[in-house]
Amino acid sequence: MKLFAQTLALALVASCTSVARITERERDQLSRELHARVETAAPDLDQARSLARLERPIGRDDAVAIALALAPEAREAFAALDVASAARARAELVRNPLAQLEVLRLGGDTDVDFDLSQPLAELLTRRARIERADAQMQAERQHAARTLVRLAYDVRRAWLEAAAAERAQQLAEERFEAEAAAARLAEELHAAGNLVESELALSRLALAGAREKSTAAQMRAELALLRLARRLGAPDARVELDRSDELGAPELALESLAESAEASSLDLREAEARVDAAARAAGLAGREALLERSSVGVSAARDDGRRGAGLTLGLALPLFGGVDVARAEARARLELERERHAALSLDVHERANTLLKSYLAAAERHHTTAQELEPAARRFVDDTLRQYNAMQIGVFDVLEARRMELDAQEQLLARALELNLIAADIEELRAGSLPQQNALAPELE
Amino acid sequence: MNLSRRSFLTRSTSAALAGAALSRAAAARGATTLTAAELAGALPPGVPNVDYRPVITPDGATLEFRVVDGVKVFHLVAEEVEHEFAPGMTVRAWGYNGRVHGPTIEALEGDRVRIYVTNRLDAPTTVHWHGLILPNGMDGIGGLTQRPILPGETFRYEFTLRQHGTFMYHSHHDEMTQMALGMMGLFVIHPRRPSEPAPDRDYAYLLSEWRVEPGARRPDPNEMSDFNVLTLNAKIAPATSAMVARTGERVRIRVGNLSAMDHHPIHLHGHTFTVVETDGGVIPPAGRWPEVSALVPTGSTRTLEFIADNPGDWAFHCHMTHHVMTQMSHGIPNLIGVDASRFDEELERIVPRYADMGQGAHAHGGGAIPPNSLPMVGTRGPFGYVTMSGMFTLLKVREELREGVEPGWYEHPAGTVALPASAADLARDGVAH
Repeated sequence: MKLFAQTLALALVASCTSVARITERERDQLSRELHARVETAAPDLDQARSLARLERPIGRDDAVAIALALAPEAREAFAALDVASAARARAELVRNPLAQLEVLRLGGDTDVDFDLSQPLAELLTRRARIERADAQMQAERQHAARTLVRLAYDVRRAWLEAAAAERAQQLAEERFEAEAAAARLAEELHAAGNLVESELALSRLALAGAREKSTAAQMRAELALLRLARRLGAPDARVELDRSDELGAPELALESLAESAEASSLDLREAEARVDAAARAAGLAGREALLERSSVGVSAARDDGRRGAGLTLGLALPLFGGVDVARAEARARLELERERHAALSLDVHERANTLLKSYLAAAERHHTTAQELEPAARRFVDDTLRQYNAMQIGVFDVLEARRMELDAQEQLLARALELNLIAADIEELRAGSLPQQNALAPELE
Repeated sequence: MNLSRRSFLTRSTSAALAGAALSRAAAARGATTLTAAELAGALPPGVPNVDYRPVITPDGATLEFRVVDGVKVFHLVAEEVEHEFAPGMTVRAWGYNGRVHGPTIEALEGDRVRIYVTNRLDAPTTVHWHGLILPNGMDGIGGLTQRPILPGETFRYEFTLRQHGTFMYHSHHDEMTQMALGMMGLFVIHPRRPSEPAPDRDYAYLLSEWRVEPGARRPDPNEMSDFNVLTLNAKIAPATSAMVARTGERVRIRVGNLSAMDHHPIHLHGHTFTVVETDGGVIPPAGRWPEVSALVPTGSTRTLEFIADNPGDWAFHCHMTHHVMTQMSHGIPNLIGVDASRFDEELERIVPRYADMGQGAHAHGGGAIPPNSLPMVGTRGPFGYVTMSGMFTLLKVREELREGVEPGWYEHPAGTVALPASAADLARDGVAH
């Protein structure tokens, strides 16, 4: 009886745990982790305020903050954490005792049996189960953090692509304006009898090409804004970008990238937690299988006017090898998680090295384009204008130079986007999330 | 040397005969006022302002000489020269004695000249005495009559001037390059016994043409036809100094042309002139006729003479219209019949920053142009902008002149300047406006 009373008392204490408390703690911990890893203002999870921020032009950091409040992926991550928190809370609980009442009428007599039993498995493995649940909680927290970091950098990439697409649209419009102006002059010259039909046709051809390019660029910019709005979690919002946030050359710390990526990797921390949980599960497997249907309880009966009470103890007999199977499965799961961790470690290392080399190459290309090619094209146009003023060349020669300058500006934009996307990948890697493989610059044309 | 009378006479006779033969040959090919004996012997060196009135080379110079044992000794130094065509446009050219073109060599018919040529260029060179009758080995053709003068070397040319007139000198080794870079000059020989009145004003010009890309600093010797800097004594208007004359004065203008590919019809306003000489010799008076333009073929000289009898500021220029434009291009659209200002307007849409650069492409000035260039530059005149540059200068004829003082713009007598026609004029003469 004393044993049963102690067991029951323990079960009562365990059932006092609060899901709300764990959930609140985990959300708070996740928010702090996110703030530490994503270089942005502390996320304001208030949806109304975030929607209000969308009413003015947003920079890339604004976009991340808004997405963390509005994007369903962010809410999903917090909800998943809540689920994990509940699971963690459940690990502290023990199953409710089972009460059985049996009343039999035999002839004129009434026999009564009353059994009260408490399953033993949760009670006897409680500490180990809590440790396993802690490990699983840890894994889920890392997973949620990784999800949010990835979201943050997906949003940043979407912002970069939208900004680049807008700039490309602007350049396409400038090209169209230039071609249109030249075409008007060609029409005038042709009307005055100074320009032959074939030259006029060439001018019209160039104008049509510029118009098509401008239309396509406009469509790409609109689609990029739609994608960004979707990433932000506000697909119907009319997003406007802050143009003062330019696509320059980002400054990155690149030393020991692979090592720091490994050290900060949320994917690896999650995998480690899953290995830990699997290890603890493997340690528990035998006992859980053994105690699967075991219970301890009290029993009272009245039979033929006689009354009595006593203890009951139920045990599953390990006759058919269920314990061994459970242990083997747990060990296999542990091995699986270890291999996953090892593979992930290789991925992090490889991605760090790949991104480093990609960044250095992209930075070199961007530098050459920004410091040499684009300025040279600009100087060429300037000199062409001076030559035009000096009546050495005509307006169509200036147009040709301007085309080259616009080509160079488009090239610079493509290089800047490529560099910024790779930089975002590296920042994501440093923040703990393994970037997607396909996050390199898409062609703007 | 111990000479017997017989041998002396024999030599003298031979010399006289040889001199007579040379004189006849020279007379056939050029002008001389000397007898055969004089040509055979040694004449005293001519003295400037005593034996002849020195020529004026506007914006140029005359090469100094000294006399050594009866020989006039000159020294030409071929070298790279920083040369200004006009303020705002300087080129690295090749010339002589720090100038482009080289200084005018001036002497008297019959003078014995010894001309040293030092090569301070990085390339071999020679000097050819264009139009002079001289021994073949002194003709200065690299590879043909002499070996080239290598960098650092000094060569000696020596000969007697057996003719008079206007001649030239220039490099005759890698001519295309060296002449295109400016290696030329005038060689004026005055007659020892002039048969015609000496001029009161004797001007000399050398015409040449260049290709200098606007913004570049080196003439391009590879140009074959599209020359864009046309010069009078290596200057372009408005940097060409004006000639001056007092009314009634006899004026001589010697014009030599060493342009690579062009002849130049040189036109004088307000006067008629006659061509009295070519570099082949004096044109007999019976063979002269009045002109207002004289075509000066490349590789030739023409000497114009007239009496300055019409006061005013008279244009003197090549009559090829593109030769009075500097750095003119022909690769531009034909804008006649369209509103040219629309081009600047639309250009701001082609290159938006054009608005910040200053415009004025189709006017004169205002817009930014390439550094070290003078495209379309002209001259500011008393009535506005004179749209001529290049081979353009003025002859200023005045009743009164103060020597050495630029006379300024001509003051027209009342009623002698064209003005807008009045309504009364038009009505009187039945001219529809």
